[in-house]
Amino acid sequence: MAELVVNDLVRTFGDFRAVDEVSFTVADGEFLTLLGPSGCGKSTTLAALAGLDHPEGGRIALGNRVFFDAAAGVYVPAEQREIGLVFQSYALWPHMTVRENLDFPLKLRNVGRAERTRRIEETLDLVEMGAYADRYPHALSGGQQQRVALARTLVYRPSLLLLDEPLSNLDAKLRERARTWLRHLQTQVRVTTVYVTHDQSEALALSDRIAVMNEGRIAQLADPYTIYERPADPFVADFIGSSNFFHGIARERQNGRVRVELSGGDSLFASAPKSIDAGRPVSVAVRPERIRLTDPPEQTGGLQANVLQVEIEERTFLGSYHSLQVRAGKDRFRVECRTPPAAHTGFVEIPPEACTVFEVAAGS
Amino acid sequence: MAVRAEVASAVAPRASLDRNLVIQWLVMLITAGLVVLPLLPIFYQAFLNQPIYDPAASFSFENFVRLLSTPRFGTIFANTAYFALGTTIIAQVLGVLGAILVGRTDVPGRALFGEMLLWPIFISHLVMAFGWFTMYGPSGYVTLFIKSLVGFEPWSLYTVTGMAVVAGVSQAPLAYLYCIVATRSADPSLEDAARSVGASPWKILVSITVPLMRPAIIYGTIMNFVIAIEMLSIPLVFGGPVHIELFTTYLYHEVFGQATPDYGLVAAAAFFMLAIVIGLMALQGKLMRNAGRFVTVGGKATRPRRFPLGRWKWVAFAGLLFYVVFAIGIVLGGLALRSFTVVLSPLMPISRVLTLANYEIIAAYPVYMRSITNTIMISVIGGFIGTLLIAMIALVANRSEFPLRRQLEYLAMAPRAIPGFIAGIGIFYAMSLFPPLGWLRNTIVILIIAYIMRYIPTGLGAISPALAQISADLDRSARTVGADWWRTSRAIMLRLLTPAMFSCFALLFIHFLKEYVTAVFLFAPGSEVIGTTMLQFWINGDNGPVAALATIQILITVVFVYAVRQLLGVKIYG
Repeated sequence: MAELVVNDLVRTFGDFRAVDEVSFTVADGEFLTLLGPSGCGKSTTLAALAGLDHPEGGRIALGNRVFFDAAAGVYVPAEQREIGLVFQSYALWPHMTVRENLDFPLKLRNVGRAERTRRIEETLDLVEMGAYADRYPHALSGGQQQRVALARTLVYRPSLLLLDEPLSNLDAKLRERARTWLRHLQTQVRVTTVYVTHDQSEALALSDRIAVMNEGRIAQLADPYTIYERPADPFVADFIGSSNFFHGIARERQNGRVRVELSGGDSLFASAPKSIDAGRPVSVAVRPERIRLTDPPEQTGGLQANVLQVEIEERTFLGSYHSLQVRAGKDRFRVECRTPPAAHTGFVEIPPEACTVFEVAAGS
Repeated sequence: MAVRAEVASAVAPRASLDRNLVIQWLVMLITAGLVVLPLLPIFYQAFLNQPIYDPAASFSFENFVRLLSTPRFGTIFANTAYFALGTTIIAQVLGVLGAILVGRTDVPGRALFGEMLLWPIFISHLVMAFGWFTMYGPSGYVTLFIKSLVGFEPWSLYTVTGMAVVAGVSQAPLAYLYCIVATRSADPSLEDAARSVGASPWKILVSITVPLMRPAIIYGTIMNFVIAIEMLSIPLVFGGPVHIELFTTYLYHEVFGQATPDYGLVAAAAFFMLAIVIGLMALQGKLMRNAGRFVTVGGKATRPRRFPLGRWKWVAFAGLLFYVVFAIGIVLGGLALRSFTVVLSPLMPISRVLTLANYEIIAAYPVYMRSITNTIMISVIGGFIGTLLIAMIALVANRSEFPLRRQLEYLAMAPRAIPGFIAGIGIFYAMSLFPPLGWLRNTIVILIIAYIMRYIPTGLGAISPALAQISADLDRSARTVGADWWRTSRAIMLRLLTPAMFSCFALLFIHFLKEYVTAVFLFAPGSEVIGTTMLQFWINGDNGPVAALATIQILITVVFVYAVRQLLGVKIYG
């Protein structure tokens, strides 16, 4: 019933195309995250959905209601869209108590007094804030304000819930708890949700699907697992989990693997579902946690495929693991491990299935 | 719980006529009407060869030719320029010095001095002029006292320089106000940085502190220059008796000195003055454009350190005390004393001249009492209506999707460039042009309209910064939960703006209470205000009742300022 369909959305600021022909669909009850670095167009897209910003082109429809259609000249103002938006700043009205904050949207809808009281109590209980109904926002902690902000949007039962980095003002510990809680709440309420964040772990933990945005476009739209394991382009590979990149030339392909000749002369076998023309320049993305430290070849019976000798240049202790900056020939990359080797040199193994090959576009 | 299972109860369906747009257009049209009302008739009359109401009038440049060929024009122009320059220099030097001493040094008694230096800003120039006249004029109490000691008249205020001294002292509080705000918001780390590289306190003051106050100084300089150009009271009181004419007094005499005023000439002169003021305002805007270089407001709420004056602090203390006593205390105190005497002179013991006659005269005549009640009515009603209008202008200009919101903002700031004097003439012409407006003439309605127009920018100065402090998310969130612009404005924005609206009302009340220049051309039997009545008394030579009325005006101001500040906690001027 409440499926959100966005087609070819365009928003420009002067010559800058903040949102460049973005299209996506959010199924009824689905949780979709717009993920990307600042300036990628995710917040502008959200503002267009909410009706707080007027795009230049495209179409936005929720169920059978058209919110915006540039071609037909349709633009429904924010207050008539029946959506809920949770702001990064929470935007609780400081001169109203928690109860009055929730009451305001209900009064606008001419809900009867008894029904208003019932719904406010029900919603505050849902966000575990029932005990704070008569407090003013300034007397609440950040986490509590965030819950009230969410309750204020849920209380009038919007057909679409928009969340604009709602967890970014919480400290790290609280953020993790709020994330779990939010996911739980959304599955309970089953409201179609669009969530905006620049935090990849939030996106991976919460979403049914993620739309990774870059320079006003959607770079990849898929479920979290696919986004992480099979990034569609080098940007996604780097933005999610920050990959290492090896540059080289594609050579022969065999058994679903392509040999890539690295610039330093070593070879790397990478799993490649598609065929790649031999001789093409490619880059290979490998996540640091997928690279394994291995024993010297003398002990394993000769140099095996995808084992590189490396020189350890820098070690950083990060608590649960060590991050090593290593060099093999001309390639520098990072490796994560539990126990770092004592020596300055060592060997690493890069599993072919951990490699994602991207063809480098001519000219770049 | 399945929140979405039930059909969401929708917001009320859209009305056929969007009430938000209707309200926004209404605000726009009222503002435009207020600004255009006085200007259009002046522009029109300036280029007509006959009075505005004469159907035979036709287009010509004759008025400008006559204005420029007036034999006195050169002298008037030179006098005005000299007066404005002198006033500005005196006001700025006193104000900046006072602000630095009070705001940034350890001079003793700075809290009290801070209050005293600002106080004259609440008092009308007319009252200040009468106060100076009473104490320092040719037959003033202090003048005669010194003359009896040294044997000759020590000074003369009946010169352009004398007028500039009086006007400069009257305007010093404005310069002080802008600079004291700048000293409070200065970022102490900038000075600490200078200290850490080895600069002495004096060096820091000269090379960091004062340069950072430059925007405030430039802003105050141009404001004071403009105010000096459009000042009527001081040139009239001190220049009138010896026929020294400035632009405003020339216009005043052209209108009131002739049996039939020369409409065309007056309009051309007003046009000329308007052009100068608009030019100065444009200059100010240009100079302030790069003010970002001086933005020093940091996130921290730390106060800047005070410069230790050492032994010099008692010199500074003496200087401030001298200024406060002689330029403010004696002037206003003397005026109050004068109101209780038959005559105030060092040659007569005060005990023998004490009387309540001045107040009895005022109480005896309904016209005089009416000027007091009219003034209070205008201040209360005008302040109330003005505050509502200004709050709406601020909301439409800054927090709406109104297509002409930028234009509304410019329009609302336009009255800064319209001297009260010119506004009065313009509205006076407008009434001649549209006879149906004539009925307003004998009511205070016309004064309320003119005053509100004049002080829209002043009121916005109190409301706009407060509005900017309110996060845009607060009204955007109201919009997303289903409130339209007007509902959002009423339930959220106006509620959050209430403290700023109280400040705005207080400012308008004080300005309306002391305003007289705008009323000089507009008042009529029935719509007298304290200022116009004082001027009439003074022209008749009734200095006693003038002092009594001035004292009443000061008293109302003191009571009002005390009440709103102490009892209601309203902030006036930050």
